[in-house]
Amino acid sequence: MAKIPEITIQGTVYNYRYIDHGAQFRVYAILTADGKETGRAIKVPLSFEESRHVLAPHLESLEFTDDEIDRRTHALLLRKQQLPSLLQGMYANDKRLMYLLGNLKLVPVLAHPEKSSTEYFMPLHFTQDHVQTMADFMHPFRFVQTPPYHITLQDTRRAKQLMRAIVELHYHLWEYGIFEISFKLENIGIVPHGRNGIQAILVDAAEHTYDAELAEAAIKKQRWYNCLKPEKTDHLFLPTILHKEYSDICNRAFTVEEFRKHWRKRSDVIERRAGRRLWVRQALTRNSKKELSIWIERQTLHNDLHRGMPKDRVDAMLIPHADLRMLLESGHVGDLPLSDIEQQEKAERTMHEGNQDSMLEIYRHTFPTITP
Amino acid sequence: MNDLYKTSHLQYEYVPFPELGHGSQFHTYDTHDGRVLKLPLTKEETYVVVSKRRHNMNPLSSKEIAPLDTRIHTIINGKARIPAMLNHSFYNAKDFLSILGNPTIIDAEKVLPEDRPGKEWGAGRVIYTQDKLTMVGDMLKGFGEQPTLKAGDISKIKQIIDLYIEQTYKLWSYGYADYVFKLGDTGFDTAGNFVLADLGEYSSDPTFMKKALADKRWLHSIIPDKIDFPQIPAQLHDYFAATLNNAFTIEQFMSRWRTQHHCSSCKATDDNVISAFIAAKVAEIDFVDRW
Repeated sequence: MAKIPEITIQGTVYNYRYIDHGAQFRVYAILTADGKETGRAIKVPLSFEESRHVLAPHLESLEFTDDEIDRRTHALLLRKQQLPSLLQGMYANDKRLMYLLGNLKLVPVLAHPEKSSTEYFMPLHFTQDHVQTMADFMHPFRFVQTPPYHITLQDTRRAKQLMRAIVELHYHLWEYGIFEISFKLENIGIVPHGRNGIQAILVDAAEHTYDAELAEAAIKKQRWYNCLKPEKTDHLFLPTILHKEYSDICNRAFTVEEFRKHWRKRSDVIERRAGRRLWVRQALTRNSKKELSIWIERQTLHNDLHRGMPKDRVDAMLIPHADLRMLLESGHVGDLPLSDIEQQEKAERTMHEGNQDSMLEIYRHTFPTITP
Repeated sequence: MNDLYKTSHLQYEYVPFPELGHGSQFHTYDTHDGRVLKLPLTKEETYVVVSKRRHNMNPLSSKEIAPLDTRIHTIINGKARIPAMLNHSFYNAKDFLSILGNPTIIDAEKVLPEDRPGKEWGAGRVIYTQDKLTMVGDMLKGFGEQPTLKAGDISKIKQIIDLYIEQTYKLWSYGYADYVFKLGDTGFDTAGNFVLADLGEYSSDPTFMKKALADKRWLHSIIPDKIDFPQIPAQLHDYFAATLNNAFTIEQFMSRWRTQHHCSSCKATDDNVISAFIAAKVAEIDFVDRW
């Protein structure tokens, strides 16, 4: 694993090692007081200023005005508030779905910063499984022509496996009527599965929609191509050597036909089953007040099936309020130098921008010959 | 589905209260304990909601803006009347409050910030909690997408209309009345009791209520243009109009008005000239804030 500048915050019960940040959260690995990994990570919400700091460079490159950047940042902060909806109702009851969301849990503590601030609408913290980041996974595939990185047959297998796992992840979300709209690779984490396998999980689920029309529009725009475009600086850049394989797999998998085949497949079945159960209960009751009440329940079933947070979605690590507040206030987004991984990614993006033909040549000569 | 998670009384413990919806007066949040929290919209939020509802998202003309201001004023006044109604010193307050989903006022002054330009609550600084309900409005919206209704569904909606009349009569007997008559703003609690949910549109003024009855505003629920009224399915329009026109007459109203109004405060002020004068002057406002 490449070197990352290490920042560890000492809490009252746990220690927190900084991993990374996006535009919405900072992520820290949770360590015990004696420095052992707990296997969990905590997502700490970014303030308005931090989110703006992350978004601004890309939006400025697109010639957005300051007001427009503020509006985008504001919208992002609001979108963050919809994350708890993924931990409710039928979603929360599907163990596999929860696993694919990194076993996401809500920290049941409202920790405001010390000074009253309008920078946070509602500072919600979450914990999730601590997994390998996409940037880390992709690192060995960058600059494959230069030592010490030489990809092996095993590496190519793993890359393909990952791409298929990403497709499966999206399909599973679609079957519940959830659509991850950004197709950002960095929103996905990697966990080992079985003896040699790997699985993709969604570590940043805040960019989703339940709207089928928006989803189809995103598919038609082929948003998964963004990670192949060096000018898309708000997306992790995919190593050039993987571009073709990734495009081929995504183009086959992310079509409107496949979307319609999967969309709400599971959630509709759950709703139909629940509707049938209520219908039977209504038919069997002899009490007219009760019968009316069940009938009403049947009419509002769709909404009810998406409500209610079970206990196992509420984090039980008892992270102290003081720790949460400290994490909230230790905003170091923008203060850190680029890590080795980030520098390498930036370098490859720049190289690709100026040298696309030769990079494609590298692919042609390298990847197919070692693919089984 | 009922929440399995219950909030405790620890100082900071919190699981997000999802917003269940909002009208022109309150945001409604699920507090995970079988209750909902009603937070008032600011004047600015109300302006946005009301102008969108009435005009199907089209921009307002200058002619339309003036009546809108009056309507917003009315909406805020409706909220301002809530505490007096809920704190009225009924001897049988528990029965009265059960018609309204057992509301409890929260001291807004302690939690709402002071008004500032662009973020004003004005007189509508009212916060309360109430039993969580399955709303009839949500159910009616579901039926809007169905071309025809099954016989079983028709009989159930008729049952709801009948319950609505029964509960409205009960409220009249306490000396309060809903002057908007929006069936969609009713609901059922977990025990299956029918509840009148929207507290911000009630009046204790019989003269005004007689005018509202003459307006037959309940018929807005069968006029598709009235997009802020959840619509009754077409197959039930005749039943709805006939039943409510027959039930909500001035005669029915007067025969029930305040028959159960037993409290410790109303009589004491009757003989007091100053109180009577104040009551009369304040009542004049009612003629200003109706739209």
